[in-house]
Amino acid sequence: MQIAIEDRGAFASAIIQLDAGESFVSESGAMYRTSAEIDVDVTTRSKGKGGLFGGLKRLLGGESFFLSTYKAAGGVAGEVGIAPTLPGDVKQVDMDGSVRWLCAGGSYLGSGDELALDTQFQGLRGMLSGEKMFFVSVEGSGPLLLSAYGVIREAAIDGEVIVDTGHVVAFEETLTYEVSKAGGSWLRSFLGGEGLVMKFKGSGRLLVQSHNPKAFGAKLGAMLPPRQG
Amino acid sequence: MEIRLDGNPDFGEATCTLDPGEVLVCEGGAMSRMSAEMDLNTRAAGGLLKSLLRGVGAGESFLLSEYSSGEGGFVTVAPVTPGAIVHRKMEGELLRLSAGSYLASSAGISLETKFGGLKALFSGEGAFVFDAQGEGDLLFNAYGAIIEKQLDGELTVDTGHVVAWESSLDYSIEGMGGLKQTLFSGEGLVMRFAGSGTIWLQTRTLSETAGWITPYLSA
Repeated sequence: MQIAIEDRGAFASAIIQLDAGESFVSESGAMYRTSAEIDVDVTTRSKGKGGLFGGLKRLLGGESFFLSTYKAAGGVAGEVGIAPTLPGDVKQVDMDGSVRWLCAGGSYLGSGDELALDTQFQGLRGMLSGEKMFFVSVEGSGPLLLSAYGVIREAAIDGEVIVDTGHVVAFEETLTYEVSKAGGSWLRSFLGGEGLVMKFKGSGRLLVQSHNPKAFGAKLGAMLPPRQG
Repeated sequence: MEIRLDGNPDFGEATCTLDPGEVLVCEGGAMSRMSAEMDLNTRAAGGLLKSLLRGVGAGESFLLSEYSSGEGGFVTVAPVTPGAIVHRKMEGELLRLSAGSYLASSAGISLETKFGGLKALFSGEGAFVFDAQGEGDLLFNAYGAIIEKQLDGELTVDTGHVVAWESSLDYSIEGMGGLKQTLFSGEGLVMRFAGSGTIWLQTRTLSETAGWITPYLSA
C-alpha cells in the first residue's frame, strides 16, 4: 500500500494505491474516486470491533455511522482517492503497533485495514458543556490518515501544554490529559468564550489544528435562517 | 512579546511568546493552545454596557480574555474564520477595526467599542467599530486574503469588505445609488473613505457565505 497526500494546505486529499488483495477503510462518504478494480463495501464493522454496536459507537464519536472499505479484489491492483469534508490539511501517521492513537471526532479520515478502530467516551463533564468528548481510538500497525480544519501542527509538550478541545486533532495514548477550563474560574472561562481545554502531560505526539470547526460553524450558523421544526 | 505568524493567508494563526508578567489580550475564545502555567482573566472592553451592546449588536463575544504568567510562556491564538492575520506594530496611532476583525493585542493598546451610527446598524456587518490605540502589538484578521492599500484621495468599499483603517481617514456610510440600486444590485451599503492613510480590506465576507449556503439548508 502506498499513500500520497496531494495539495497539502487548504484543500488536501489522499490517493491510496492498493496492491492485489489489500484493503483500506475510510469514513463513509470520503471517497471521491476509485479505479474500476476496487470493490467498495459500506459497513458498520471494522476489524476486531464488529457489528451494529460498533457502528453506533462510532456515530456517538462524531463520525459517520458507516465506514467504507475499499478492496483491490480479483487479483488486480487499484487506487482510491479520499478527501475530507472541511477545507484543510491531511496528515499521515505511520503507526508501528507500539502505541494507540486517539482521534478527536471528525479528525479520523481513513486507515489501513489492519488497524482496529473503537470509540472512547471521555466522561460526563464533556457532555454537560455541550462539547463532544469522544475519541476514535486506533490500534495496530499501519497507516492512519487524519484531517483537520486548517493547518495540522505537531504541538511540543514542554512538560505540559493546554489545548482548546476544538483544536485537538489526535494524540498518542502515552500522553495523560485532563479536561479542564481555560482559566481560574468556570464563570470567567465561559463568559469569556473560552471553552473546555485539555491539559496534556507526559511524552508522546500531539497533533493540533489551527482552526476550530465548531466555532466557525457557530459563527456562520448565527447568520443562517432558523431551522424549521 | 514575540509574535510569529503561521499559515497565512489561508489559515493564519499567531503564536505569542510572553515574558514573565507580560499580558496578551485577545478576543474571547481565540486561544487555541498555550503553556500550562498561563492565567486567564476576563474583562470588558471600554465599559461593560457598551461591550454587552457590542455582543448583542455584532454577534461577537462581549468580553476579552487576558493571558499572563509569572513565568512567561506562549499563547497561540486563531481567528474563528479562515483567512489572513495582520501583525501591526503600533506607535501611538489610532486604528479602527470593523466588527469581528480584532484578534489580540499587547497591554499597551487600549481598546474601546464605538457605535458606528444608525446606518452601520443596518449595514448587516455589525453596528460597532473597535478603536485600538497605543504602543505595542496589534493583531487583526480577515475572512479570506487581506489587501493593504495606501489611500490618498477617495475610495468606496462594500461595508462587509472593510477590515481596518487608520483614523486619519474620514468615512461615511452610504447607499451605492438610489434605493432601487441598493436593493437590486446586490451591493449593500458602502463606506466612502477620504483622506490619506492605510486601509485593509478582506476578499470574502461571511454574510455572503451565509447567503450562498442558505438555499441549500433543509427545511
